[in-house]
Amino acid sequence: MFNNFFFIGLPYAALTVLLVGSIFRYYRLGFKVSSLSSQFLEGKELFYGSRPFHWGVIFLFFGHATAFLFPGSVLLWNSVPLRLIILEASALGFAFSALFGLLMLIQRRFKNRRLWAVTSKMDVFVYVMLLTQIISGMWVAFFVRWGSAWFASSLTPYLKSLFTFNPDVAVLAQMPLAVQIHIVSAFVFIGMIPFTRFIHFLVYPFAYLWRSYQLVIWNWDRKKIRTSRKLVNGVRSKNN
Amino acid sequence: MNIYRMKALLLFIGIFTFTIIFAGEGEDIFKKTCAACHTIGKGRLVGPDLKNVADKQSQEWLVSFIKSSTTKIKSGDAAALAIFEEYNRILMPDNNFTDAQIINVLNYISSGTGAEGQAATATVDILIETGADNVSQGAALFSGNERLTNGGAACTSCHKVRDERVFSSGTLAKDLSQTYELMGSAGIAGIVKNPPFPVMGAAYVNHPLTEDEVINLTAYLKSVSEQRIYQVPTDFSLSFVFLGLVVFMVIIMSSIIIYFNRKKLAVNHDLLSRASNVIN
Repeated sequence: MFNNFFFIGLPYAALTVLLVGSIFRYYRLGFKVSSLSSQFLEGKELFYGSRPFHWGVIFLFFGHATAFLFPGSVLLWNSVPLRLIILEASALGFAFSALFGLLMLIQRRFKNRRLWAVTSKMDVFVYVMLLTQIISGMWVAFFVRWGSAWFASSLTPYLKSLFTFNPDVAVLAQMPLAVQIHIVSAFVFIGMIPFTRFIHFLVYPFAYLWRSYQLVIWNWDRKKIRTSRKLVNGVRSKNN
Repeated sequence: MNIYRMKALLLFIGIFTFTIIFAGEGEDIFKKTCAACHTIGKGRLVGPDLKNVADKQSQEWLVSFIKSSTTKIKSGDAAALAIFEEYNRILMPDNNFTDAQIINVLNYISSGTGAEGQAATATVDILIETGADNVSQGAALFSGNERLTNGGAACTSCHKVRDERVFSSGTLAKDLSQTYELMGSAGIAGIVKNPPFPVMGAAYVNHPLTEDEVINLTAYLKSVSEQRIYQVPTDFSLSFVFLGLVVFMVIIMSSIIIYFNRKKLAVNHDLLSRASNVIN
């Protein structure tokens, strides 16, 4: 019964909530389909958290997606033992990167009161989810080897059975607890996308990849503003 | 024809078809799931010979044992524990079949039709004509150095063995170093050909092994079982973590180098620093 709940009911519920919730959020709260940036409040530590975290997570996301969409190609790659090791060690390296980045981001947010002021309960939930996901994934990578191989050969049929509306949980029922936790938390993660900052997956800011940073230019004397007692300094703009 | 006779005939045809379909289901399930480890009247393999099993235990007991032998054993059931001990403490995997499906299988076993149909794998050793070549080919298949003909995953994806030649062993499934002692060649061949374990079954249902591959892998596992006390394989776990950390360092160094010319402080950093005594 629990297997049916976690590996059939939960995935369908999560995917439905993702679809309906994302559409709802887009139409009702269009400007909130993004992740609230805190770079303006703190930028130095953000670099050491955000870069390793996002590089790690993006690599791992596409790694999982490849094993799901092209299992044959992953099995072909893994058919040479050395290549299997290279793939697994790389994935573990990116997982270390994601974990390191996430821990940096968490300590940064908790330490800085200015950031804490713009932190919602759902942001804390996001950290808990990500920690669960990354740590269970690393546990699986180390103790339940070799994930890239058995994912492609045994879990991909389960995921395909979900998408063909003929779910078969026999494989999942036999998997170790760490794998089950990793999968359940992944589906909770998917279901929570519309209610959290995860929503920014759906709006890829590709232009950021090649855009240079934007410089804020003040067209008045900042020192004068700081010392001024007037509410509005200089010439009032005409567009607001 | 009288309308009542017509109805009776249709009812009979319906019941007959239903019975044939579900009897067929019992046979189908037995061949796909049970035959790797059990025979009907051909002797024991990995598990007991199931001939006359209905005379030994009640149907209720059999249904619950087949559904989850682990639960039955953990509950302390004396008969379940006795079977577990007698058959080398190898657990039968849990099954997701309905009561009706299991009863169909039991009916198929009781009908005796399976006894004639089942190949006599229990009495013929498939390794009689094998030699060192088969063992080395089996080792190559096991470790992934030679790809399986139908593109299935190499055994090391999930299994490990005590063999110095195999360094990339998986840890999802059982250590196979003693499998030959526990199951014999018939048991290994039966499981490899027709895996009763859902995870292994899903991996090979579309990538079945050829007869030669089954023989070579069985020969290799026999050799592992015989040679394992002379083998001192290196534990790869820590090297794996070390390699992961190397990749991690490369990622960190790359991100620092690639973004070296980034604007390291926020535009308003100085402004906020001055105000920090007040705000933070």
